[in-house]
Amino acid sequence: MTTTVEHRFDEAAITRLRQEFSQVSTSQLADASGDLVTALRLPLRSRNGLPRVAGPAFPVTTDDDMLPCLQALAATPPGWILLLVNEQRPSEALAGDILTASALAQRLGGLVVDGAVRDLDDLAELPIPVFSTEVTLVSARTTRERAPHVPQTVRTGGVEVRPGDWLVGDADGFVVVPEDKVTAVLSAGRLLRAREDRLKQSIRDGAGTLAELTGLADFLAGTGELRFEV
Amino acid sequence: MDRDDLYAQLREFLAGLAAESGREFPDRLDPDDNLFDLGLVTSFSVIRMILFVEDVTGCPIDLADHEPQAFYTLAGIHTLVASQRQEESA
Repeated sequence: MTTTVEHRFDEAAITRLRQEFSQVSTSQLADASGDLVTALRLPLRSRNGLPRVAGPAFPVTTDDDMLPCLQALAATPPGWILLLVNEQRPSEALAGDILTASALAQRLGGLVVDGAVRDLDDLAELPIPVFSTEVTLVSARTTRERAPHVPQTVRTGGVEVRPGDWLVGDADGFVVVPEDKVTAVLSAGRLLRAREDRLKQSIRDGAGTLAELTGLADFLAGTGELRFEV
Repeated sequence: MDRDDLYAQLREFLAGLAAESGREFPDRLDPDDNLFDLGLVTSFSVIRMILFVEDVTGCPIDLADHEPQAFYTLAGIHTLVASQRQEESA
């Protein structure tokens, strides 16, 4: 069974889901959801101190050209994450304080750039998550090659990201969640979170060390299973 | 699908999970037994359990408005599905 986010463009529904995702780490989502979620193999870092981002992706590729970025920015719905993928390495800056100020005014869910951003001091004052793989003061200046359409299905970090797939990012990394599995993945993450919280509480309460709770000694002696499930 | 049908399908699914992981499946699995504590559902199989329940019931599992513990037992899962169906039809 597949279930899409009930109202794909409903900003309030996206906001509610984003708040729920904020209670579950990307590591927990990856553990709990197996092959359903895919880790983006990209060195994405928060560039303005906001440590988390979650929302449906509005992707576009570019070649150090601002025109596709501006086209995509103009079309990204409120709540969605503008995902800019630069094919050039090293990247010129595809976003700075002005583009980000517009993203904020348009109530986007965030800005994620496989490439460079700049103006970090100014970005720090803008309450919208900005992540990128690079930083440079050199701005992309050309506006030559328009994107044939936006959004696009893109390939980045070894993963295909389709418009509407959810990007969830935090200090551990980023995962891509298929749009039709968002609710199931979130529920699995919440279940795992609850189990892990219980295990941590048991350790704090003195019920045993991790070695004791997992039966490590018995396992090493060949007399028991390693109980590593939570 | 009534409650007993759901229980039967879940037991069969869980027996399959247990067989895959080489675990013994209990002779008796009561509606209030904790599936996680028994090791029948783990962090690595929970998503399969959710998708299975969604598939056989046709009801998306959204724990946003429920305690995660609602999914720990057969009885809890049945109650959760019934509750979500009620919300959908409201």
